[in-house]
Amino acid sequence: MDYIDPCVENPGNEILEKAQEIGWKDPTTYNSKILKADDWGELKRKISKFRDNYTLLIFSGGNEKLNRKAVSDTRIDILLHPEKGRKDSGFDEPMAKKASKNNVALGLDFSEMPESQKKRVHLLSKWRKNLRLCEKHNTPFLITTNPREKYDLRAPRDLKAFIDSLDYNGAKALKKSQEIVQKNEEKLNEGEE
Amino acid sequence: MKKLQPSMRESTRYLKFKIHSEEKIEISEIVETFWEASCSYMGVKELSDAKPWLIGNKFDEEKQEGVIRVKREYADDIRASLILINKISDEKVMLSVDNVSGNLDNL
Repeated sequence: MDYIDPCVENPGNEILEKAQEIGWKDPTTYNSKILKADDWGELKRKISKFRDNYTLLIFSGGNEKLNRKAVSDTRIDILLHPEKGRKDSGFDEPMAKKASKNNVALGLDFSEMPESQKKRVHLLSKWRKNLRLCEKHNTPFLITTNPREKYDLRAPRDLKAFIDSLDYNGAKALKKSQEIVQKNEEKLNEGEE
Repeated sequence: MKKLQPSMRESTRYLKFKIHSEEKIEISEIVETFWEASCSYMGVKELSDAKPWLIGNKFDEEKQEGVIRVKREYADDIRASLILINKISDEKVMLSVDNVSGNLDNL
């Protein structure tokens, strides 16, 4: 099975080599874009600009209003770290229902794991809450390492074990990125024809 | 001491892990970091049930590979605590589990 790390954007040679060594699919076979925006207007413009050119379109969450808009838009594939910079988890039931309806996956960002044990506890409890909502509303979810350098990478089966240790389905989380890439590649190829 | 009956024997798993880093890491450093990481992730109570053990004579300093023995039910938790390790003695590292087996010879 091919394991795909969705948030590998413009990887250097070191990351490419290490990723393939530990079991990820070659990141150059798909391209992903992480979108950041301060307001809905800016986000809409960026989605229209990049959707037809990238296999994976990922929105970097954190702002509650934009999180809500992102899960309502079918053109976005992944809502990444909705809890970033927030005291709450950034994801609620109405968002989970919309994300499930529009097939927007919730992205757990392993690179956000802090050094401090206390902050790790807070992050993991936000993840648990979001995963509980995903399970209840059948919302897709996945985990990514979002690497900036080669030591940020983690092996795919170890990430699966991490989700399993939180008592959720790790295999489902790993499979989701491959499904999204396959679906989008077919769409992009149809568009070219 | 009398041996435990076979029906009471606990099932174990052996995890073969590899350290990816610029500098070579010594066994004493990895042992200390492993215990800290697993205690903070799982807690003393769960860890006491898991009974993990980093097997000293199976650590290859050249290849930077080692073996951890753990109770079967806690294999995923120990893997999770290994990937939470970012540094060993101020050296940036990444740990990955290459193989899991019920038998030390099959690793």
